[in-house]
Amino acid sequence: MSWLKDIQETMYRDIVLQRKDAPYLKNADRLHVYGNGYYVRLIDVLSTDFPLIQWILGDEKFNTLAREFITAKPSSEYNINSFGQHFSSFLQQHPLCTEYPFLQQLSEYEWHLNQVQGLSRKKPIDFSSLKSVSVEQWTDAKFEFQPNLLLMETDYGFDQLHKEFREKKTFTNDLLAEKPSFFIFYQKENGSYSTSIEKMEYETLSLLMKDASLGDVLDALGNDEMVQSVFSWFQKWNEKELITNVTFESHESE
Amino acid sequence: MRSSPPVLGHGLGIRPSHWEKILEGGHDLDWFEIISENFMDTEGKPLALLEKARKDYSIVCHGVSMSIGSVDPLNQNYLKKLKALFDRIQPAWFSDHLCWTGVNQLNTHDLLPLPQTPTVVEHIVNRIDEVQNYMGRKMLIENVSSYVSFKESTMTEWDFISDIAKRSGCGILLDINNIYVNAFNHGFNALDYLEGVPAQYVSQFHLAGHTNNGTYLVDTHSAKMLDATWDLYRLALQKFKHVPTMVEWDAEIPTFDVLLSEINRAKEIEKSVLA
Repeated sequence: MSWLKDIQETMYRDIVLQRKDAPYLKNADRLHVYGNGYYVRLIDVLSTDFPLIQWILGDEKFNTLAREFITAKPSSEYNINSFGQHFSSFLQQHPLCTEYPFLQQLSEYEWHLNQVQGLSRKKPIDFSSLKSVSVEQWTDAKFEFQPNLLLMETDYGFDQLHKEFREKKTFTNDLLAEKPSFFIFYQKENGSYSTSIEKMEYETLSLLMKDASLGDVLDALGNDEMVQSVFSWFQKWNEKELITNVTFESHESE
Repeated sequence: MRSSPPVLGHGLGIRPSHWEKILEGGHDLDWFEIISENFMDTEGKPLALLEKARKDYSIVCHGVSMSIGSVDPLNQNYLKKLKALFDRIQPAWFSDHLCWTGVNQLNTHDLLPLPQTPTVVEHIVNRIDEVQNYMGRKMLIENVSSYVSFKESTMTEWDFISDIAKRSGCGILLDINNIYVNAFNHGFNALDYLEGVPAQYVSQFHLAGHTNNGTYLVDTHSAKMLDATWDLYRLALQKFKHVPTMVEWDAEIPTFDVLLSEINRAKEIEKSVLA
């Protein structure tokens, strides 16, 4: 089948390079339908996955950037929805990051939000079933979190930016403050969310997600004021249905 | 010998903006068609919604990425994930397109036409055989719309797809709109296409709208079906009798009610033709 391989390799190149001459075809003047479609389709996917970047750059700059990405990293995925997975690493070296130094981190932020939708969601734990657990046992408790819970640390306050985007405002540089920010991404019954949290809450959550016990976390935090905070964080996590199971040294909750 | 797909009535394609309406239930539909790839790589919300829908309706899986006509080896990871999806949702049947989507592991994400020759028939029959053996299910292949054709082609489109079905034991998903579009674009008679396909292989119809670009038609799936395509559907019913039928709409997606009115029109036409 080497002739079929030759034809497919040639046609692939002709589509991607948007050539107009294809002597192996009848109606070769219509090859542009495939060439145009190739770029429109992939730009559309990037536009769906990175709406904040498109909003900031504007359509023209975004389309140029998207075409550069398509050329640099042509899709090798069977699923078009995975096409944007390398966008962030592509941006790392891109000259636009001089003008917009937050761009690469923003692409990661948007990709996290996108990924959360495809991760599974388990039944959240019912803490009322654990009323009989003693204080001593709680220090040994380890927590399991939703598989769709993701964390991200950034140098910019993307939450404010996201809010302005949702309110359909025009992007201006003062909408984006350079400040260390900490985000959780999660999914509930009715949608996917990103929420900004405090650094200590982020670090506590990171430790617990890495299998630290509640006792380890309380020891690490040290002072009583922070211990109080842990309880308020647990309340928040419970409201967001982020915890799916608790295990103790001697028994499991469910 | 794999069993033939069940004979269902009329269905619609699931599009994300319609989930709420679909799950309200009570629709006079037998089945919904999903784009397989939208559910293969997720454990999240889309799959949870699909699990709910399949309590009330049969589900049919329609793929866009198998690339059955490519010279690349079949993507084993893709087949594995597709099979896992089938095992989970037990579709009434599954289909993909008679096309290639890329080569050398690069993907255009388009449904590209093939040269229609006996050698290519042989190539595709072998690959369908591999897929059907792996899945343990009969597959349907769909005729695609096209804007160019190959000088190397020696067969008509209808002989090409019919030979593949005859030799591989797969079924045919006949897209009525694609026949209409290709007849216009390549200058053949759409009735010759219908005449040329043996009825026993046709297991599903697709209906959709297209866009007229003057010298050629584009299969955009972005509008209601034109009267001329409905006429072709009538002729297809006269030959093939009842075939499970669904309406596709993939761009500028209207409300669910508009889709219902399109499929209801198909039902009425079928009733009048087969009365």
